[in-house]
Amino acid sequence: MRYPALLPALVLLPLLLSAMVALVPRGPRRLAGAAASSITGVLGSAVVLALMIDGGSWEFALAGWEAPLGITLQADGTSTAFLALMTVVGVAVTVYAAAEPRLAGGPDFWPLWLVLWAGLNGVVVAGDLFNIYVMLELVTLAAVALVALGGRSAAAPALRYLFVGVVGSLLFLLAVALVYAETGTLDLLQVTAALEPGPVLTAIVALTLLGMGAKMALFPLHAWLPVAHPAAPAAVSAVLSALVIKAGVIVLWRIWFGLADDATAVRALGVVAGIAGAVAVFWGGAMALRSSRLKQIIAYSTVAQVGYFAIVLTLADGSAAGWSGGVVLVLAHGLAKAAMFLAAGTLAVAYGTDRLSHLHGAITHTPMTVAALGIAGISLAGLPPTFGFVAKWQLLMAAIEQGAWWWIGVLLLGGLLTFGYTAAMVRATFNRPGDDEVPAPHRVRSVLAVVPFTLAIASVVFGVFSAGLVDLVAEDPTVRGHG
Amino acid sequence: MSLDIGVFDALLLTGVLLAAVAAVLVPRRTASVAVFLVFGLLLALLWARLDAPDIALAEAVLGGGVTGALLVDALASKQPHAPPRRLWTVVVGIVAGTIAFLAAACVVSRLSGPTGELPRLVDDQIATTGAEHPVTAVLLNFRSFDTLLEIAVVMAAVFAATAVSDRSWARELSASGELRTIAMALLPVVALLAVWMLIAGTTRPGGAFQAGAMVGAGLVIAHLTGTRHASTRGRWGEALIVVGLVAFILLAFSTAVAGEGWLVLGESWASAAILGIEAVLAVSIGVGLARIFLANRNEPGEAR
Repeated sequence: MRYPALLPALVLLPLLLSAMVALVPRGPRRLAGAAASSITGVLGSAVVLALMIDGGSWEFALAGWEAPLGITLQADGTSTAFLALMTVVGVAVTVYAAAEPRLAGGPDFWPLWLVLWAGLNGVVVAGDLFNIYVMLELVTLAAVALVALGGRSAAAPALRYLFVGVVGSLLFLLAVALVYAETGTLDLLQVTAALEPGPVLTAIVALTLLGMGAKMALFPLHAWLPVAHPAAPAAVSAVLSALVIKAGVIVLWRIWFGLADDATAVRALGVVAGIAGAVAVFWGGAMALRSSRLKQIIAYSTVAQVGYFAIVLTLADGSAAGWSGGVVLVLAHGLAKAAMFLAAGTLAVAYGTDRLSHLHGAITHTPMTVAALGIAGISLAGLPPTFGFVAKWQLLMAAIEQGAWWWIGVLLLGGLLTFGYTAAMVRATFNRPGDDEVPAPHRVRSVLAVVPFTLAIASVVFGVFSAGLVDLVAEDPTVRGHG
Repeated sequence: MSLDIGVFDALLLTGVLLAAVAAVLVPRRTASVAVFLVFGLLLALLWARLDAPDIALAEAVLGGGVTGALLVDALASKQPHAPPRRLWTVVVGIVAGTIAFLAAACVVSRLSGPTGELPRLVDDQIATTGAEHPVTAVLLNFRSFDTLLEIAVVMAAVFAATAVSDRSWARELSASGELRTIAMALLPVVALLAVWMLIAGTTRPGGAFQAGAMVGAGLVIAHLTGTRHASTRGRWGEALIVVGLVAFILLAFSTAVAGEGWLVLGESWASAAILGIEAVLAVSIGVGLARIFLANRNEPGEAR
């Protein structure tokens, strides 16, 4: 069998499993769901391995029709990196959710989670603009429903998330319609070749920036995130911050680096996105420092990190270091953020709340969970030898290459803020002076501490061995170097 | 682009815009829903004027029918007034809407006219697809992967609606004799329409989504008029909701393993496969839409 024929299975297998898991009665559904998710994880790892061994870019036309008649799936180095992230975090969340149903939102979690996973895999390998739109719809709908599993208090945040997500989708759909009207094709590669510079192209790029900006919570379109992400069950929060945000990111990057040209209007859009990103880094960091609950801090931290993904639009413009730095940052953020949200969920179960003021003594009772928080925070802040450091280093290189010193300031100050709120979270778990009796938490299963800790460790190990990944990504044709 | 708009089209366009704005701005919820239904009707007419009867039909049954039923049902139990709007949100909305409209008009007027050879390609290849109607050929052969994913979206929406419901909607409603008589008269007509839309879809506008909407409407009517086994609850409901996607994916897997590749339909059996898949999809869409409607009704066990 030709390897590229594996690509449709990345989407179709989890969808089939989702439908079957939904038929399992609610009692034993956790087992079925965990088994189905594991199969999805195995498939994901197999495809990632095959892509790495094959070393090339895959293309597969569905239904036997080549573009423009049919739909094409595509995978390159960037897809490989994103798929690897989906697989690692997906498996970790599966183990975590199977261990503690309360942290996943009950039996309804499993079919929706499998749909979400299918959509995430699909966004990464889609090569057709309308197909990307449908994949985004799958992701958004499943993600909103998963937020709503957080109980009554999650209903309003979920509804708000739905509105923002759908508006983002519609803006993107408008961009897709303009592309089709102008070029007569929906295939991303053909569109890249056919689209002439002009006001229509500018409108397409602007609509995509606006739509995906809403979906990835780019300042000032971020207000839904610090409400929706903490309201969801912990396993869902981890998926939302680590993976769902990234669906918006990869679509924005693919359109931007595929289509954007040197026109003044497009350059201005890049500057606007960069400024929004820089403000997001500071605003998110400052709000995280001011927050008093773990999940809220971590959610604001996501708002800050999304700022970097917007800055990449400028830093990766014709710069291989900027591009690979951006992709590595996506992976580093995914691992670290999943570790943080899962650790926060474990602490919330142990202490009955995620308020910082109630967590003192946690470092004695659940040292592994607190260590996960700390290590993940260090990776996010970009300190060596973590994954986050590799990403920030590449981005710094790109900034120096371009002589854009102000980005160096943003990167370093953002790291400092990250370090600040990480320290605040860890400090809250210290024993208080004079605490003879450290408050004892509820017992939690050890796997709930092991999973976030493993993810946090992964963000260090990958940092040490990341040279190969950086090369893989840097060779992508996506970096067209139009600058 | 040439602007060839008659008086009727201009009136229709203005009507759609006015209805859209009014649906958002009128303070009473009942009025808002009524205007929204008018908006759906005008939009369907607009699609028909644009020579897109498939979309017109879908808009009429889904946008007007199903959404309308959901909204009217939600009205019955909630307070009649929407929370008061502040003046500045209205002003900002109108200003933003005007700017967006002008920007869109500006960009659309710069489009370089119909390009690409896609319509010609579809015409060239349609004979091998097993469908005579180009829309059906695109939906179930050329771009069948998209349609499969759309079905997954519908399934996910049903999962979502069920997850947020309290799962206690009535298995069966008690209804008066008159209601039962209405059901006896309506249901056969609805069933006939569903089958017709399904079969018509191979040669002319219609297809799984439109037929599915009719099935959904029929199930809702049946449940509300006290017909048994129409509640979409239980294992059978679940099975019928997922069967469309499962059948479609199994077809995809079998073409990949035993056939010529993912979703490649052989010329000899394509038309049978398309009709079969559309029939299963219509059932799943219909039961799914009925489930979305019934799962979140606020007064279980009571017929109105």
